Amino acid sequence: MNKISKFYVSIFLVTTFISVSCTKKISSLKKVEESSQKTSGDLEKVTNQKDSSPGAYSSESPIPSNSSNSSKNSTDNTKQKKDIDNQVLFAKNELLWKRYKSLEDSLASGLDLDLDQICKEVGVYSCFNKVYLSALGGNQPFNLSQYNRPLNPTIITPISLERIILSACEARIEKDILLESNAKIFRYISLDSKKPGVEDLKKQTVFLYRKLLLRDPIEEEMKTILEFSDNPLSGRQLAKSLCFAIGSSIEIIFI
Amino acid sequence: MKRREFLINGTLFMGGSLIPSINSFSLNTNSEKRYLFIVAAAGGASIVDSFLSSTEGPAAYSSNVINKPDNSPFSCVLPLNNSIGDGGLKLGNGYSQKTFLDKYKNEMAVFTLEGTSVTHSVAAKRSLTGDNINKGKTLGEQIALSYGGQYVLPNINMASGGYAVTGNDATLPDWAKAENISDPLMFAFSTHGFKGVKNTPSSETMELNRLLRSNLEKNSTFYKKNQHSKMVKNYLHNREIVMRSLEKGDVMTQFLIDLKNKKEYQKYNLSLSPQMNAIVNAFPNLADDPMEAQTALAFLLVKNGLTNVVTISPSQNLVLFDGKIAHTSPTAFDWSHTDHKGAQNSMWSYTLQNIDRLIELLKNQNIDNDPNKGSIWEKSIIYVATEFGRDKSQPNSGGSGHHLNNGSLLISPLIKGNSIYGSLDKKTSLTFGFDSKTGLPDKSVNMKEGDLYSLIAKAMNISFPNQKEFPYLIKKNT
Repeated sequence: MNKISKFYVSIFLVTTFISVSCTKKISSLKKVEESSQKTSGDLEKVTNQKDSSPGAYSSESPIPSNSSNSSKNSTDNTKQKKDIDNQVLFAKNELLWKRYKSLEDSLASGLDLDLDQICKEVGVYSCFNKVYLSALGGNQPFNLSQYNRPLNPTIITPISLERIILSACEARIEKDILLESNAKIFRYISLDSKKPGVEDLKKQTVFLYRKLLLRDPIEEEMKTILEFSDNPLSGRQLAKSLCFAIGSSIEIIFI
Repeated sequence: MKRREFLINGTLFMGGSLIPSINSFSLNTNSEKRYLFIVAAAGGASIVDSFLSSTEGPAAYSSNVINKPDNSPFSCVLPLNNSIGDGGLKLGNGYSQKTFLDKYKNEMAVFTLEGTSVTHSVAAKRSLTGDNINKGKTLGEQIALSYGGQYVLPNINMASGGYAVTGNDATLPDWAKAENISDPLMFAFSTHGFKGVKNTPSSETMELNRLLRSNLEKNSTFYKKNQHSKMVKNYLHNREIVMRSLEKGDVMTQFLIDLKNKKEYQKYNLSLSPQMNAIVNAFPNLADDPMEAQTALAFLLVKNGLTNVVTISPSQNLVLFDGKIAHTSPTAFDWSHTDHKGAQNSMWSYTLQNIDRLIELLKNQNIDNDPNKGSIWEKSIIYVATEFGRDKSQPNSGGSGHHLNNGSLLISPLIKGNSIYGSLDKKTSLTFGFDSKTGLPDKSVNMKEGDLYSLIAKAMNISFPNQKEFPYLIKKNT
């Protein structure tokens, strides 16, 4: 084969190679586009389900919008995307353990307590920094040479949480008793007398759910609480029961 | 307190409404008793500075500080005049290795070995996993798996650093993994959901509250989405079943051993353990000495039938007695970098004294309080784990580095005692192993972590694939 022929053959081979590569790239890009459109479509379906599902308990308490979930390709899902409910938020597959510092901060914020007011065993020992440090997912590398944290909640994590919540709820109740009509958390339950009426109980329930679990209760949860209130409990006892049951639920320990 | 019983009772109690399937948890119903105590001698406890000490070789001691009992292959080092900072602070609690040797030589064995790492955390873990000879399970995990199904908290770990880790076997059920306890004096609080909390509701009200919680949970979106998550299942199992069993037995009272704030406990209607007198007699420095507190808790855990595997370790911090005498060296055995003989002598004394006290208690405690079952000690092994040995000589500086060559101490009625498995080359102060078929010392062999792991497991009647066999080292009828 002479030189000119070789030149033309080389050009042909190079051109063929380039065109094949480009074809593959284009088809993979198409697949990505199709996939993202499908995801966008699924998201639309989920958000549309909100209208027909039980959704939040109270239609008078609008769910906060969350624009961070909008998809790049979801140009049509503006209004529905803004009303994303808890069902979408909990569609994540992985659970994270809310460890001691996060939990402590959540409770301080949720029950409006200072950090050192939440829990101290026998009034002396810090629950988060000493007694239940390991059980709540912490470690003390300097004084105790603990260089690793537990990977998952341990056998005694649930007990730790129960004791902390009981203590925190009691601390809040005591403060609200002193504040009387200016109570910060138990503002719909009279803590020094009988249990509240149905409407006040509903308001208190919604308030506690928002403060502790950052959401509204669903219809079934509200119904359960109303049924529970039939038990012969004083206002204070009911307040503690609600605070404990909501605050120590499994939902608070995972994110 | 049997795991199988409370698993069944727990399911009935909750009506099975929120409890994961009972079959999803591996139930080990072996009721045979076996106890493992791992004493993590952190920092490098050198065997040639204790029970293989000699007047010859680079690691030699002078003859006036060495004691060699009759009819025993062991020797030991008497308490030395140790101090920190050139006499500024006296170091050592005065307990003599000789005391320990005289009492327990017939139940003691030294297993010579050469490890595979001089990195603290790596070597510590390998001393527990046998360098992964058993699919990465630590010795504690294996013993808990084989015999711990009958206990509420089979495997307790109060050690630190590389000893406070889980093994590498991903298939190990969670209940056999170690529960880490940071502070033994606070452990009692972790055994009851509401006792001692201010203005505690009655038990009946608490049960109502828990039922409310369960009913709320099962309707929640969170539970519906995540009920199949392993973390959620485990959490609920521990909350609804394990916790209830701990509460039923009023375990909390048994474990309240915090003397420092006795008056505060009374304000919360709590009282110290009824076994406090015996505990304080054995561990007089309980309130200030972390290892004494750990050892006390270790005894209470097995005595009260909660546990069969406990890991303890000396503190890595200075433990002062009366503000004048250091019972431990800073960084435990690793203080050898600065003062080899002082660190080894003081830390061996400190560690052995705690072990001595533990054995005394175990010998006097019957299994399940039943004289017919014998003492807990008769079914126990104490394994003094350590990362590595130390340099055999300390020219000029008096400090020593890490060294692979060493030996481990075992104390148990289940193994052939008053024995050294392997031997010591007195010229080099290096240990060497033994022929696995004959048991006779063999200078061409060095035993490894997996060999020691195999022996301890076999002494506990546990077999696993690739296990090394040393039948002549196990007592018959164990």
